[in-house]
Order: sequence, then structure tokens, then C-alpha cells
Amino acid sequence: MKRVFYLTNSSISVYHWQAGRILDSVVYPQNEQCLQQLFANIEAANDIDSIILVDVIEEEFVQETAPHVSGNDRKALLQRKLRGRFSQSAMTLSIVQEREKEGRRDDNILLAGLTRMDTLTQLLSCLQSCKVPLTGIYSIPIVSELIVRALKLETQHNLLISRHSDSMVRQSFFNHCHIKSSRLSSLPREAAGDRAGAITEEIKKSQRYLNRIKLLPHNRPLDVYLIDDRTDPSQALPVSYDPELARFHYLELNQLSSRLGLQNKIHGGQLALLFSHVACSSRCPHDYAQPNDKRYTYFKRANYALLTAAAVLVLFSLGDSISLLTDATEYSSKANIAQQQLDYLKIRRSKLVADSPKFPLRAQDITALVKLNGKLERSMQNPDTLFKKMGGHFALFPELKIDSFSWKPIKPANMPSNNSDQGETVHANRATRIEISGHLNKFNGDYLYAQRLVDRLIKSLKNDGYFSSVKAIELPVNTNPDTAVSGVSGETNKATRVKFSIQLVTGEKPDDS
Amino acid sequence: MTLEPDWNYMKKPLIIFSVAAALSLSVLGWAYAHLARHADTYTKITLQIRQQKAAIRQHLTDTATLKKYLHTYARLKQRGALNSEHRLAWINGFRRAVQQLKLRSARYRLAARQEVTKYFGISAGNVQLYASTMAIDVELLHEGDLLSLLAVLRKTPGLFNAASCSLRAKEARIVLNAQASNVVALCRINWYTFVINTTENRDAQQASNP
Repeated sequence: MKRVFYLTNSSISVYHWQAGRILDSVVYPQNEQCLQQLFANIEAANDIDSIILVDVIEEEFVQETAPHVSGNDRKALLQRKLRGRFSQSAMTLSIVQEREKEGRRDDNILLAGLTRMDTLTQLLSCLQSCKVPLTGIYSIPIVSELIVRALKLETQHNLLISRHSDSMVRQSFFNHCHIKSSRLSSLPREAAGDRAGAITEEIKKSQRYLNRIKLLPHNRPLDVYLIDDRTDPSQALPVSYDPELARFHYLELNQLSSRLGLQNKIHGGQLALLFSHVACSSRCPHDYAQPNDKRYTYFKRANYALLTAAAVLVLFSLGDSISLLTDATEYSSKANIAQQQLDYLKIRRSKLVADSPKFPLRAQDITALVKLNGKLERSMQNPDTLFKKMGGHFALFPELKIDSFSWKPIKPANMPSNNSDQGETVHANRATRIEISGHLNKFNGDYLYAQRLVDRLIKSLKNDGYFSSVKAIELPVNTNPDTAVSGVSGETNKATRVKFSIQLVTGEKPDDS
Repeated sequence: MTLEPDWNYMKKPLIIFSVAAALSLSVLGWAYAHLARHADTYTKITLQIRQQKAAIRQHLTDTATLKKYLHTYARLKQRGALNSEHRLAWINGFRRAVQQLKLRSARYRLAARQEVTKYFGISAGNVQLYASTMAIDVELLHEGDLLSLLAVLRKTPGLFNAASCSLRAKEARIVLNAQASNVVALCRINWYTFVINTTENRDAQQASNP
């Protein structure tokens, strides 16, 4: 619900509006007693959003042009112009309407001001002290612009005539839909019988004024829109008017009201109801109120925002908490199932442990033991095999006799030095170096034969495959071209011992050995 | 233009908002804490389930490993290659072999044992390999006696390897007499012992060496 304080020069009417309907109306004449009564009523119902609608003679409109600027520059320019035009008035407003189509393309600006506002000041003071949320202070011409826009007039120079009481008529001039000027005039008492004629005179005055201030070109006709409640338009429209100068359009009051969404039936003297409805139902961007006048509107909105935020916060927290509790319940049920699984696994494990045979050592220890034992066994030399192999080969050459025979494991190069009693015999390398020294039994002096015999032995050992390396260290005759050879040829010296020695390697021969 | 706020006008909504905010935060905090508690419980239980499953898997694997290698352990234990050395048996075995083979000269020297695990290039954890080297110097009728000597030693408890040997003919001519000695053998025999440092073994060692 909204409340409208309709301020005229003689009275303040209070209307309560809700959803397109004026609920009630009270008129307070402008005297001390009635104003006190009004203020008391305001104090009693101070929480209703309120609008002040001003319909007074003391409202002036001035058309100006200004360079096209924007932002803070425009704001400063408009304030300067308002101060220049309405230095005595605190209630002013400026409307940047359109840009000129030629020249510098300046902005057309409407400056408006309320010049006398004693009652308005009192009313504002009362509203402030009662902490009434004031939405705005509008004037009838400003609200008229909303009506003209709603009518979607296609004509350019429009004069809207509205009769607000039996004696007062307002003429508002629009260029297209932009308010340019407005005038409230009282009809002479003697013209009560011929109201159409009196209005015709007022229109002529306005037309002359508009011609003079160049808002209306001389050769252009004026479109006059007359709002009245008479069912017969001929009674309201002027009859003796040059059609070259003006074209008249009749707007039946109740048709207009229903078109603008007002659900009340009104008559000619209640045009204030229509304007109040338009002011309440539409959002008018221009008003006279200063931010401080509307502070309780802001505070009320802030209060609503706080309450809404509180409600949203509570709803969100409740919703989120319910979601969290649902999740928690889900976790709880999952935890119960998991606990059952855990209990089962614990029982299974303890049963497994109980049923398992008792082992003398742990798995990793036995694994290490087996690995270490495997390496040790692979590194061990088996003399039985070695003896068998050697015996087999030497049996093929009975003339060759063994003087000495030794084996020793080959130490890997990367093994740390070992000066202990174990010598260098303990390591994982299975390669063994075997050294055999021998002589030729019953040597008859045939070195070639002896040499061939040892060569055949070496060849036999190589063909075995058991030895990875077979190398002659000493041969019956040193045939190395880099050494000297001497002897007595042609004689058989039985005392001469023909020696040989062979080095063998078994197992994997290390690369660096 | 700055508007001076009328706190008195806004007092009630401010209080309502503050109470609502406090209430909402409390409810949310409680709900979050409740959720966190249950989620934490669930996480802990699932962690325990994973641990139990891992323990069961480990137990089954360990049991399989133990069953797989137990015969090696038993064999080594039967051979007397585990934990304690049988030095007396080794010496006695050598003496018995010399008597059986009727060797004329036989000398031995058994060195102090040493840990040799590192020479095998593996990390064996609680298992350590020790070696005690027995250097022998014997005079044999022929080289086959060395194999016989080793065969007799194999019957004694312990694990050994004739790591190196040097045999040489004592004289240029072989004497065909059962009492003669034609070959001199110098050998290094390594006696190996695995020591497993289980808790029980450590306790036993401490008890034996207070």
C-alpha cells in the first residue's frame, strides 16, 4: 500500500492506494487545525510508503540548452544552471530531454522549480520527524508526461488540458512526449456556465505564449488533448476555434482511467485520483525530493534487505544443514556397514593366525636366508666334478703327467678387499681359476711331438665346454719369436724334463678379471 | 551527500539479522562438525579395513613363502648350518678323516669366524652369513684322497666349501706303497653358518653370553 499526499494551493488530500485502486481519500484544508490533525494522523500511521504529489501554481519551467557533456560534468552543469535559475528554491529538478538535431547538437534541458513551498516544508518536516518513508516528491506536469507516454501520442505539439477542480485547469505542453511547460490557471467565476468558452480563451493564451517563447512554431497547429468526464464531447470541446491553429482530441476520463489501470470510477473533479494512481503505479525518474528527504525509504529498504538476508541466511543454513545432516546420516550408515566388515575381517584374520602353523622365523627372514643360501651354493666349487673332468682329459694323453694342480676362486674387481683369514675366497663369484703344471713322461727328444701332444690336450679341454677359458702358460718349446731358444739337437737326453702349464677358468668369467 | 543512518529505526532488523546470522552459523557449524565426525569415523574404519585386508594378504603371502622355503630351512638346519658353529665337530671330523685315510701328516688351522654377508651383494635383513676358514696341510697317497677327505668332512654338521686347493707331487717319482705320501695338498676350506637375528635368537645369545 502506498499513500499519496496531494498538495494544492488550498488543501492537502491524502489517498491510500493499493493494487490499482484508491482505497480512501481525506481532504485537509490548509489551516492550522487541519494540518495538526493531518500530522497527528501521519504519526499514527508512519510506516506506509508515501508520495507527495504537488499541484500548485508556484511551479516554474524553463527550457535551456547546454553543451552535451556527461558524468560529473553534466551533474555540475545542471546544478549550476539550477542555482542560476532558482537561487531561492531548494526544490528544483533538471531533465535532460533530447539533443538538438543541428549545429552543435546541444542538449535540451528542462529546469523546474517550486518557488513557494511553506506547506510542503511543513509536511516534509512532519514526515521526517515521524520517520515516514518518502518515495518521492512529484509534480502534476512530471506525472502528466507518464500519461502522455502511456497514450503513445504521434503528434508533435501536444497540449494536455486537465481540469482538477471546477475552477482550476492545468495546461501542460509536450513536444512529442517531453514536457516543456505547464500552467495552472483558475477559471473566472462568471465562466462557470460556459466552461468550454473559458477553456478556449486559456488555450489561446497558452498558444500565444508558446509561440512567443518559440516552443510552438507559428505555422504549426497545436494538438489539444482534453481530459473530461462528460459523455458528450461537444459540450467540453471549444466550438469556435480555427482548425488551422488547433486540433482537438477528447479523452473521456473513465476510459483513460481504465486504460491507465485505475480501477476506481471517478468524475471530473477527481482528476487527482488518476494522477495519484499514475504516480503510484509507475516509476517516475524525476522528482524534487533530495536524498535526505527519502532517507527513511532507504532505511526501510535496508531494513527489508536485512530481514530478507536474515530469512535467506536462515533458509540457506537450514537447507545446507539438512543436506549436511543427510550426508552425515549416509556416512553413519556406511560406517556401520564398514564396521561390520571390519569386525568380520578382524575375526577372519585372528582365525587365520590361529589356524596357521607356527613357523620358527618370519617370511622375510626365510626369503633372505634362501636367497643368501642360493648365492652361496652357486659360488661353491665342486672338486669332485673338477677332478672327474680333468681325469677324463688327461686319461686321453697318458704321456702327460701332472706335477701340481690348484684352484682358486676369481675375486670380482668390485669386491672390497679382504685381509682376513678367509683370504679372498669368500664371495658370490662362481668363476674359478685352475692351474695345472706337468711334464711329458718318457720324453724322446721329439719336441714337435711334445708340442702337438700339449696342443691336443688344450684343444680337448676347449672342446669340453665346461671351461670358459683354456690358456697355455708354458709349452714344451717356447715358440715366441720375441724370445731366444737354445738346445742340443740330434741327441736324446733322457734327463731333460719337458714341462708345460695350463690355466683354466670355470664358471662365469668376470669381465674385469 | 552522505546519509546519517538512523540506527534506532534499523535496530530491530539489525538485531533480527544478527540473531539469524549467529543462529545460522551455529547450526551450520554444528552440522559441519556432525558431518565431519561421521565422515572421520567412516574414514578411520575404511582405513582399518584396508589395513586388515593388507594384513590378511600379507599373512597369506608370508604363509605361502614360509611353506615354499621351509624345506630349505629344514635342510640347512639338518646340515647344522644355522645359528651356531660346530667347531668341535669339524675338528673331530677332520681327525676322523685323517684316521680313516691313514694320512701320515695332517695339519689344520681354524680361523676366527667372520661375517661375510656383504661379499654376496645382497641385503639379507636379519640373516647374516659367517665363514670360518680352515686351512689344512695334508700329505696324501694320491689326489683321490683329497676327495675322500672332503667326503668324510661332509658327514660332519656344517656347510663347507673347499674354496681353494693346491696339490703338488711330493717327489718326481710316484711311490707305489700304501704307507707313502706322494701328494701334498694345501687347502682352504670355508665353513659357513647362517645366523638369523630373530628376537628369540638374540635372547638366547644374551642368555648364553651374560
